[in-house]
Amino acid sequence: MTINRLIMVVMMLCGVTAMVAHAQSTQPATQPATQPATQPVTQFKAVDIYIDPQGQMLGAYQIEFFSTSGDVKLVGVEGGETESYKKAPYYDPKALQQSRIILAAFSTDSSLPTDKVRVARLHLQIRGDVNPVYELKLIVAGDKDAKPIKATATFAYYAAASQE
Amino acid sequence: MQDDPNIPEVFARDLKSRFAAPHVPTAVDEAILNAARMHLGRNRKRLFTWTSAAAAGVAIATTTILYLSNQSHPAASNQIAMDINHDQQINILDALALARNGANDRDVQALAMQAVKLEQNQ
Repeated sequence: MTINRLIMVVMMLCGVTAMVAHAQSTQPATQPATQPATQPVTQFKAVDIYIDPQGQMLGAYQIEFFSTSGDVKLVGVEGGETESYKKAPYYDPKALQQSRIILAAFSTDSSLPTDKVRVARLHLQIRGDVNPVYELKLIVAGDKDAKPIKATATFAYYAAASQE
Repeated sequence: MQDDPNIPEVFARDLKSRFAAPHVPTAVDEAILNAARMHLGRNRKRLFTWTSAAAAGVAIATTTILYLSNQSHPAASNQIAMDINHDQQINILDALALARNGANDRDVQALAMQAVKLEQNQ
């Protein structure tokens, strides 16, 4: 009689232990399933910056790029397409992880671009569903002798690099 | 005493006769005067010394304050030095002008980095 009771108690304990273990093993599996729903979507995009010196030699440029809406962070800066502006432009390292940057570059090359040219590419991290709005201001552009010239600055998305 | 209308004239005359001013020999009088002049002259010298010391102190303090205040705003003087093309702005054109003038790379890069600083372009 006592042995039977003991066996029953042991079986009950085993059952309870098994239930607790099952409950613990299933809990982590449910957490990741719910997490992505609460986390904002993160995208990485690249924006190309163009300067059109309108027929004059582009000896230098300085622009300001920033987002006015959306959760945008600058994560990288690349140079442009021509030999004169292939090197990454000057920028304040503090601008990385922020949504505003000042870019500037100059070239002492003898052959300088005179038409619209891509001078830089910015890599951005965009979080959330809000479509960011950007602004680009041309601070100054100069010819080979460092004299200010009339020019225009424009930008365009390059391509979505990846999506998490 | 003569001017005092309450003292009778006779009483005043008696007092004068009893307490007449003592006669001081001229040599003694001059010696006293000379001593007094010397004493005053020494005081004047001391006053001049102290005034000069105070003025020098004020001048040194003013110079120090001006120097330190200039030192505490090196950015202002740096900014003037960096404005190569004198357009009241520091931008990439200054860096290009500096590079064209044959300045060393370090100076040119420092100027270019100054031009793109976020704080400067607020």
